[in-house]
Amino acid sequence: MTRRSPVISRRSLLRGGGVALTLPFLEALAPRTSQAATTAARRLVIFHFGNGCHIPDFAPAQVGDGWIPSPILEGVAEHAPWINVLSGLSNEAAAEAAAPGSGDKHERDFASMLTGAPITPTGAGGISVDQLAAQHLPGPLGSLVVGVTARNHVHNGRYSWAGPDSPVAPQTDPVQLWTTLFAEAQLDPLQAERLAAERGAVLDAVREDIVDLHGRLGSDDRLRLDEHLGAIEQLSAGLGVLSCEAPSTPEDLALQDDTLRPQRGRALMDLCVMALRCELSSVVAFSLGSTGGAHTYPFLGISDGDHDISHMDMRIETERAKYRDVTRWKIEQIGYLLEALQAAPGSTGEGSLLDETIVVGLSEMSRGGSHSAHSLPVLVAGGPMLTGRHVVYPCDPSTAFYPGLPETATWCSGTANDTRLSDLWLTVLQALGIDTPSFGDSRGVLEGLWT
Amino acid sequence: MDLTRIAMGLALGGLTGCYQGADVDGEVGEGTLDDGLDDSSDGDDDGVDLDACEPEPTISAPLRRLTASEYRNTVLDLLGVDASELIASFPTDPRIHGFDNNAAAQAIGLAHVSRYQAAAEWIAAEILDDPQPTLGCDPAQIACRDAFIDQRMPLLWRRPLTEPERIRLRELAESVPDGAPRSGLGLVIRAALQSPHLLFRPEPGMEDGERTGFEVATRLSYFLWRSAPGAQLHERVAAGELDSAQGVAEVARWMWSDPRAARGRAGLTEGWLRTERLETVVRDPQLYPEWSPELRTDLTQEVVAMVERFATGEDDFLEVLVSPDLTLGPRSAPLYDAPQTSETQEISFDDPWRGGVLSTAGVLALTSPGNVTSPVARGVWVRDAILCEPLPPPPSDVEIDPTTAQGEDKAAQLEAHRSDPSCAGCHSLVDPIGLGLERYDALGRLRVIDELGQPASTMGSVAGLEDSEFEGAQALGERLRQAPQTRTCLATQMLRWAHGRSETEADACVLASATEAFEAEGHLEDLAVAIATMTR
Repeated sequence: MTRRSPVISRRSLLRGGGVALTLPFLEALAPRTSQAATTAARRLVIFHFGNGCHIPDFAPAQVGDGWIPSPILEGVAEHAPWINVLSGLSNEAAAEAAAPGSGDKHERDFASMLTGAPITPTGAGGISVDQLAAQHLPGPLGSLVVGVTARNHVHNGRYSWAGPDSPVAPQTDPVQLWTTLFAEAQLDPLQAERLAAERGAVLDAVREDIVDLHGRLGSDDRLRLDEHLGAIEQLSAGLGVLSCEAPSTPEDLALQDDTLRPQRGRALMDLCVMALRCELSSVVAFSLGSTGGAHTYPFLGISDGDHDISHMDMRIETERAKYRDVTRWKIEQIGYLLEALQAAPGSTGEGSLLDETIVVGLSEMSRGGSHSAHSLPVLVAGGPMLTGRHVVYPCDPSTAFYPGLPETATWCSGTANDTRLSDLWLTVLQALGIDTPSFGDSRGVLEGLWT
Repeated sequence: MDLTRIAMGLALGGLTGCYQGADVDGEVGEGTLDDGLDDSSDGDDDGVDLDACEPEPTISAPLRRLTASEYRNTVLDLLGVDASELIASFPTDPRIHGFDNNAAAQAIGLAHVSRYQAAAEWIAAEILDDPQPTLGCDPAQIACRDAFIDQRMPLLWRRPLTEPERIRLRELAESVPDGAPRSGLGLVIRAALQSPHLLFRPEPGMEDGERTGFEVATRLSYFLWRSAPGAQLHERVAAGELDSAQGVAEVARWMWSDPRAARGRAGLTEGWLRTERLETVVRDPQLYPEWSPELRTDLTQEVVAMVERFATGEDDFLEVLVSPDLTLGPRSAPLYDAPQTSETQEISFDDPWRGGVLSTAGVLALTSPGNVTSPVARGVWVRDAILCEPLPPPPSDVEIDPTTAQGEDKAAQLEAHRSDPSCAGCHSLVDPIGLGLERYDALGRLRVIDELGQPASTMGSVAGLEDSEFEGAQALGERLRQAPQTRTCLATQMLRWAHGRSETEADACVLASATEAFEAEGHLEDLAVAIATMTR
């Protein structure tokens, strides 16, 4: 029997080095393209917000450079030069009917959003883009899946998939996430050494049990054992090297209280950015709230649930205003994330983390009232890309539901001519240097982004 | 009689054809299960033909992992440590068909193992801080550690340990830097709780074609108790009591009468009646000032308590759909205009609008996803949970908001909605059910006027049932109790819970036989025993 000798982790040497992550105030925001032009994209952050939006309040009225914020995009008005708004992308995989009783429309939209493949009765149609990217990019923790809220069904509580039957549970609590990422850095060296030795010995024993069992079970069962071993490896990585200073413990924010949801979301985003900085992971799949979620907005003075709001009557101004206001708040959170990435130094010592990171912000649906996955609201930022543009991708227009839609934001009708969300994922993967000819139901890369 | 046809038609067929407005009258409700298998074929006096079906075929499904609930109960029962608070931070077990134990969703990742590690370290510390209740010996003694490995570990891993495993655990204990037996035992407990032997339910016996007695015991105990088998059941295994169908049936009956079985039945109810949805129900406090997490607990408990009463009583279990006796919690009582008390109370109603589990505030709240009642959502729930006739989701991009349709009241709006032929096929199956439940608001209170200020509709009907029209939840319960597919569906739900997977065509024989076993006396126990026995 071999047993690893106790490792003094680099973290233990960083005792007392934990400092609160504070983001410097940014005095001026300018288009980032010149700075970023020479930097390769090496990380991916996906930011999801649930329950769609009223597209006429989302889509900018101009195409091309210098988009003027719509009522919803006021939420990122000051970051507009960093952002490209993408119109006309559709998730065709969500439109395909699953078996009866296996996924309502929310669930089909959500669980296929990152896979580009229709759901199965019990799982997903394939691996999700964050998981695939993480397989090719450095970082011991793989894709860091973090959600502010997670519902409890397989298709409405999971969006990241390591495989068709491998939904990845999001981390939802800032203190737990911090514990996973950084807790050992807070111990004194003796404690840390002892804990590392004990945990190392225990995890070695667990590994042996997994390997033992692996040989005695059939191939179907081995899927879970492989997952278990992979997760143990990720956990063990926490015993090793940390290439940055760990942040201090986040505040304990009660999970069930909606009044603190904004703080919880920002604490989680801070930790995700730190995990990227510390090279624990290269990929983050962040969700601000599950599809169909019933969370409320006491901090905006709105007591309706998010899902109810998304089904309100858009012909009534007060109801439309609620949908607009909560979506604007969601978009503001993307702004917070972009600032956090911009404030963090890049790994080359030049530029910012944002220069090296592709950011995609999107919802699983466009309009709540129809749960449509056509003409999705999508924002992209970061990496070597010309930004500050509203890009409209081709599709067959329909005016069935949006007579008042701006001409620049065609309502796609779901025909074969629509441009697919999977094409964006393929573009992202290739921009990250991952050599894959297709992803999900993709048909080609999108021009003019990170090329 | 073609049992396969019946089971397939009732339980597995779904209503795929409703997009096209399929004629459901011809699809369901034709078969009866009365002319089934010969009751006396094996001389079993319970009327269950234990050998009616082939043993469960090997169905491709991933290894089962303990759910958070199962982990909690396992640690509580075997180590006497209540780790509920820590376990509340485990990732939620994603549900399929409302059940938290479907193996297809039981992936394991970093979010899990980091919590398992934290839980194992906490539990080990708890035991070592106060060793007497759990260990009954002094952990500073090596004998105490060895007793744990020899006696407690087989319970945790639910089978005898091999000699190499025992040696490895002792070596792990001796690897601690300070060499103290107490710290060594701590490592053993931590490793035991993070091991795949505990976290998963491996069945290597199946690789040799047959589950071992310990593997059968583990299946039974997580099905019926939502927990590990424990010492008593292990003794029965060692005595060979699980080596025959008859033995399994007897053990299953003993387990059904054990207090731990209430946990298993609660797990069944979560999925069968979807009480799990109450976990995520919220209400606008301005519209529903009485809404609180405590009320949510009451709403869940009143459904669970009612199921429990009929699951363990002598009456036909399906009385649960019609009985005027409801169990009200201290906070839910006012929803029924009943006097508020500090304790749970049982009240016998003399009111056609109160009777049966469908009239409980719990069911009526969980079928209202938002602040406004949805006849569609309630109808879908009846089809899905009680009849196992799930509807396909609406076609893509259909405008689904009935409130945007023209019409003065909900019935008219839904009717206008159904005038679209692409909607009518499915909605004619669900809307009329929900319209018969409009007299209850989104917290289950009786009302006369609905949210739109219109008189709440009272008449409902269940397309496809012989006697389809009804007024109120108790009458609906009576219609459903008479429907043969309600019983087949209950068997299907029990099978999903027992096996932690969705049903397949290969389950048709088991479902038909189990339904028949249930119909003999109407006892839920017979249904559970039949499924446990035929699929050992």
